[in-house]
Parts: sequence; structure tokens; C-alpha cells
Amino acid sequence: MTGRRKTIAFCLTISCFSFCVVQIGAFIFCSYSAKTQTPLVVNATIPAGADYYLGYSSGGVDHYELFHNLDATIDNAREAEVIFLGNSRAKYTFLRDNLAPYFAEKKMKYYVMGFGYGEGAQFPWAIIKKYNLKPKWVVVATDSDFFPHLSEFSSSVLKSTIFDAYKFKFETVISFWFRRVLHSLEPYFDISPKQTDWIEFRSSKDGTILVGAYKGEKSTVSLKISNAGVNELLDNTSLFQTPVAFKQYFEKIGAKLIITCIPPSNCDYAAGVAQKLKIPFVVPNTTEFETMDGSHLTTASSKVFVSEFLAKFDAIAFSKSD
Amino acid sequence: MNFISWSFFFLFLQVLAYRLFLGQDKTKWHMTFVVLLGSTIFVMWHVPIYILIMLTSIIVDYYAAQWIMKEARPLASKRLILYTSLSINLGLLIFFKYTNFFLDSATYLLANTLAYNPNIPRLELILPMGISFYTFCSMSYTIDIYRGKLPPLKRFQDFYYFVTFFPHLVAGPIIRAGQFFYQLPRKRTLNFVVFSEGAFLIIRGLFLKMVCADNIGTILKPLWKDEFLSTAPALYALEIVIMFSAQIFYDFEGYTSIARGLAYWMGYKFPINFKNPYLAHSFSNFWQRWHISLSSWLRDYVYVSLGGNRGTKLKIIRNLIIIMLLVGLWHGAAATFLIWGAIHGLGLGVERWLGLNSKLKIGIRPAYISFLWFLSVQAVVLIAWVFFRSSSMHQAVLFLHCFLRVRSEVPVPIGNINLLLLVPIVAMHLYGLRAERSRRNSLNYAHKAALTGALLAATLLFYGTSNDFIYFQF
Repeated sequence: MTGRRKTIAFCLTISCFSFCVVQIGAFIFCSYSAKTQTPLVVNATIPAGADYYLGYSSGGVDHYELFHNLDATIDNAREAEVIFLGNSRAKYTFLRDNLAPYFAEKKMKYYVMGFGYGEGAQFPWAIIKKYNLKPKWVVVATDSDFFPHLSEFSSSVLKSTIFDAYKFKFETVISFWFRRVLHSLEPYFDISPKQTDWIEFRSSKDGTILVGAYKGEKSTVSLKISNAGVNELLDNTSLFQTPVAFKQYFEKIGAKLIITCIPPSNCDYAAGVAQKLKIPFVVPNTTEFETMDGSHLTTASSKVFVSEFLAKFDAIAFSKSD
Repeated sequence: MNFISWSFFFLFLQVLAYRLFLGQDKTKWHMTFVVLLGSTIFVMWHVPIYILIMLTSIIVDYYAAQWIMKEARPLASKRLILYTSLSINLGLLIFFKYTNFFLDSATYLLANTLAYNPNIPRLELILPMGISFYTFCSMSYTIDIYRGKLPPLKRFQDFYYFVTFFPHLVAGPIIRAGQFFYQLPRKRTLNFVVFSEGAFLIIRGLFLKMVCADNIGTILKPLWKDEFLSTAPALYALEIVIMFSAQIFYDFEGYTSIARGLAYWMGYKFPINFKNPYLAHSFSNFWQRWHISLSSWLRDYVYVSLGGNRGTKLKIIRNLIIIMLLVGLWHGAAATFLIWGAIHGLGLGVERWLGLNSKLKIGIRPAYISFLWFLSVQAVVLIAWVFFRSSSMHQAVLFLHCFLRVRSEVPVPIGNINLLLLVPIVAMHLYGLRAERSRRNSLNYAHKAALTGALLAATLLFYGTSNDFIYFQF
């Protein structure tokens, strides 16, 4: 072996050795440390349906997907007679299993446009305006500050081009699959772990999500409305400027609004908006719900919420002249 | 395009494959073409149309240099060409980077002095990627031609190659024409030594960025907020600002290291941009160690033009303050960056006034004075980072208020295990100190090989999830 080749072999050996030492050390540490966790990407359940795309994995692809109509998602939303708006709580409550049987029976199409990042009304409203959607009913799961709110992330999505959307999707999807393969082989040490995290897949057919994996601590929350709180809100007229404009827009396109509130959101505000705008306020009779992380309902609780909600919705939508 | 992105990975993989198998001689036209194409895709990946802005700078500077060099031209005419070229370059930079700052300032002034609200709308501008860096690279060429330090390039594509060369494009180091052109005709094959040196630099950079900077960034993000800062006590504030000073070092040094490694694989050597900055014994020494390519650029092209070290002490101090205000403004169009620059400017001024800048006097000066000045410099640098990181003056003041608060009920914000993220910076500086004292400056190939393997393993195990480089916004 020549001197040059010896050097190459020596360097490669040292590199491989030090790589292996760190890796073996990590494996040993891994078996003792609570800091090591298998990343969610490894355990995420991949949905079977062809209509599901990766909606969220360290970044909300669904925002881009819907705003730029990447997988013809909007074509399905265009046919929907009922559109559900809200933040991530709406996404985690209005699941396909909860909605599909009812709407199939009614022969109606629905679409869920809830968004993460604590999203408010501005973003889905921008999509509805951009694609000129004309639903018959718009169910708004309202949280405090819902109407004027536009998250920083959505603000950048609204300014983005379709090229940006494809770039974002490409990066997120490749990262997801790379990390899934990598960490099925070796551990991962989350030095700055988040309290909650999730992987979610979203259907381009009806906008509902399938939770691939979730991290959080379960807790119980209540749906509370205080009349005193509502009255106090009603005195503040500046709070209702956006909701009034919102209502006027939907009246103009022939849609009817329904306000609901998913706990633990501030339901005083939702009730106040409904009262001020004179639109139905529909919440279930059940007041105690369980959440996965203190913020989003568990599947069982979402089922209870939606079934009670739909019973009341049915009474409003079909028992009268509508 | 971000170095830490899949799109860059796939693009670079193709360029590297070509270099390995068909472009061993980097001077061959087809290898040049592949790099040019890769660089153009790299630029256009951000906002495709913005290639035109860069092309404007390139065309203006290339032809300005050609015209300046026409022998028959009188000096006044050469100067006019230079000023025109600089105005176009700086005009583009100012328009994209500072228009909204000026509009906001005008609105604020009119509202507060004349009680008149003009309602000037902000422009929805996306800052062209790396504009602050490539503008300076491009301008250095015209200035050097004007000063007679460089002969003009014969081929336009060489100048295009220099400005768009992707490793330095987004966040430096700011390469000067003189540092790059002599490397153009040199044949550099990608052999094992070059490959392993490049790999070491790239993996070192990835470790600093993805493990150290990104994890600290995630820890600090919820802490550097008004809600937390309004209750945090002095000790926590100190901990947070120390963590940030490490984060910004890791972030920028990480980027530079990756850039140097990529360039090395392509057959070019980039200068270092950082040299153990937190060992600086004076403000002037700090700027010889921190973002060296920017500080030396401003020294050679602006400070010297202002008179440099000639003239009275007062004039020199004025020049130093002007330069540091420009450094602040270069980083961003915000009052916080100006204050950051002003603090450093004043520090340099005071130091010059007291004669503490001179390294030659270190042996003569009592050791305790040098040590006290070292501590003062590092403390001021730390305080200045508060302004650099804060999103507004209000937030910076809120942060400084924390230093007056002794006790608080706030829970411990940074866990002990997270403080381990400071180990690499301490180790790097200790090694740097040892190397400076013994004048032994580099690791041998066995050390580098061992570090490459260990750092790669650590990166795969501990990487953080956020991946925006702080210096991308500049």
C-alpha cells in the first residue's frame, strides 16, 4: 500500500471509528435517558386514502395547499354546501368519521377549513374570496380574537406564489420521509422538546384531517358561557367591526352563518358575536370534554361534540323553511 | 435557497457529481458552465425575477470597470463612471432594504413634530436574497479597478461567475474581486485531501448550525418576548443574552464554514470570517475577529476614504463612529441595529481616546488594566447583542430593565442540559487561545478525520428543527 493510500485508509478508519463511538454512546445513553424520544415522524400512521396529503409536519403545508389549490383541493371545496371554519380546534373536532355519515344521509357536501397556528377568520376568508366559493352554510368555530386574527405564517402564505407553495411542500414532504427512515434506524435526542407536537394528514376531498401522531398531555375542559362576560363584550363596539363585515360578505353570496364554540375557546366572545350579529349560536348541551393536550378534543369528545352540534344544526337548517 | 434544505442538497449533488466525474479540472468550460447554471438556479430559486436585479449590478459593474480602464479617459470622467456605478448598486440596496424604514421614519417624524399623519403606505417588498453581500462583492471590483489594484476581467462570464458563485452568495463571507480572480485560472482537482478538508468544514458548519444554533434558537424564541422579559430577573437575562451571543456565533460561523467547504470542493479558497471573537481584548480587536470580511471591507473602502487613521484624534473617532453606524445599518433598517452599531462605534471611540486599542502597548500596560478592559469590552459586546436581537427598542429597553430586577417568581427558563450547548463555543475559544499563543494554527488530518465522524454522528442525533440562518435576513 502506498503512503497516500495509507493516509486515506487511516482517515476513513478514524472517521468511521469516531462516528461509531458517538452512535454507540448514544444508543447506550438512549436506554437510560428519558430525554430520548422516538420522533413523531417515525410512529406516524400514514392514511391509506389517496386523497390524503401531508398537512402538517413542523410546518403547515395545508395553508399552501388550499391557498394555491395544489391538489385541486379547492375544486372539492367549491362543491361544498357547508363549510366549517375555525382554528386547529375545529380541525380536530370536525373529523370525517363525525361528519360524513350525517352529510351522506342528507346528500350534502361539506368542507372543513380549520387551520393551525391559532388561525383566525382572515385566512379562510381570503381563500373563499380568492376562489369565489359559494356555500349555503358557513359554520364558524369562534375563539376570542378570531375575526381580526391573521397568523404570521398565514400572512406569509397570502404573499406567496405558487412556486413558493411547491417549494414548501417539497421540503416538508422530503424532510418527513427522510426523518422517518433515519430515526427508525437511530435515536434522536430532542434538546429543546416541545410540549405538544403533531403530524397530520389532510384530505383534499373534504378538508378533514387524520392525526398521524400526537404528543401532549390529556386534560378535561369545560364549555362555559357567562352572561356577564357576554354583556361586557357587547359594550365594546370595536370588537364587532370585522364580524359585521364578515357577515355582510356571506349574506351577499347567499350563505347563512352559524357560530359555534369548541372548548377551551373563549365562548363568551362567540356568544357575544352571535348575539350582536343576530345569527344562531349552536353549542352542545354537554359541557365537559376531554382534550389530548389541553387544547384539542380527543376523538371520543369530538364525536360527542359533533353529534350534538349536528342535531341542533339539523333543526336550524331543515326544520324551518330552509 | 438555503444550504440546509433539500432543494439545495439535490442541486449541489448534481454539481458535485459533475465535478467528481467530469469536471476534475475546474477551469474547463463545461465545468464553468455547470457552476454558472447551478448558481443561476440557486439565485432564481428565491424569487425568479430577482435575477434581473443581480444582473443589473453585474452588468453595471462589469462595463463600468471596462470604461474606467480606457486609457485615454481623464480622471474626472473615470470618477464619474465609478460614482454612477456605486450609485446604481447602492440605489438598489437602499430601495429594497431601507425604503420602508425611511417611510416609517418620515411618518413618525411628521406625526410627532407637525402632528400630521400622512398615511404613507408601506411597500410590499421582498428583500432580494443576499443583496447586502453580493452588492459589496460586486462594488469591490469597480473600486479596485478605479484604484488600479486590479486589471479588468476580459470575459463577462468570469465576472458573472464571481458574483453569483453560490457558496458566498447569500451570507458571505464577502469575497473581494482580488481574493477570487487569481483563483479562476488555477486548476484544482477534487482529490481525497481536498474532499476531506471540504467535508470537515461542511460537517463542522452543519453541526454548529443545526445542533448548536437551531436548538438555542428554539429555546430562546419563547423567552425573548415581552411577556417573559417584563418579569425575568437579572440572572436569567444574563443567561439568555449569553445564549444568544453563542447562537449568533454558531449560526454565522456555521454558515461560513459550510460556504468555505463547498467552495473548497469547487476549487476555491474563501477567507475565514471569524477568529474566536469572544477572546477580543479590545473593540478594534473584536472587529478583527468578528465578521472579518465585512469589517475589513468597510475599513478598506469606506474608512480609508473618510481619512482613516490620519488627522486628529477627534476626526479618527468620528470616522470610527460613522463606520460602525454603517455596520449597524448594513445589518438592517431598524433603530435597534443603529443603536447596536452606535454602541460599538462609541466603544471604539473611547478606546481610541484612552489609547487602549493598541496591541503593542499590552506588554507595557499593567496587566490588570488590560484584563479589566477585556472584561468591559466583552460586557459591552454582550449588552449590544440585546439591541441586535430585540425586535424593537421597547423590547430592548424591557430586556435591559431585567438587569435591575434581582428576584422574580419566574421559573428557570433554561435547563442545565441546554447549557451544554455552550460547550462547543467554549472549547473552540480555548483551542483558539492555545493556538494563538503557540502560533500553531490548525488541526492535523487525524484530528479532522476524527472530528468529522463525531460531528456528523452528533448532527444526526441532536439536530434542531428550525433552519433559517439569522444572516439570511440581511
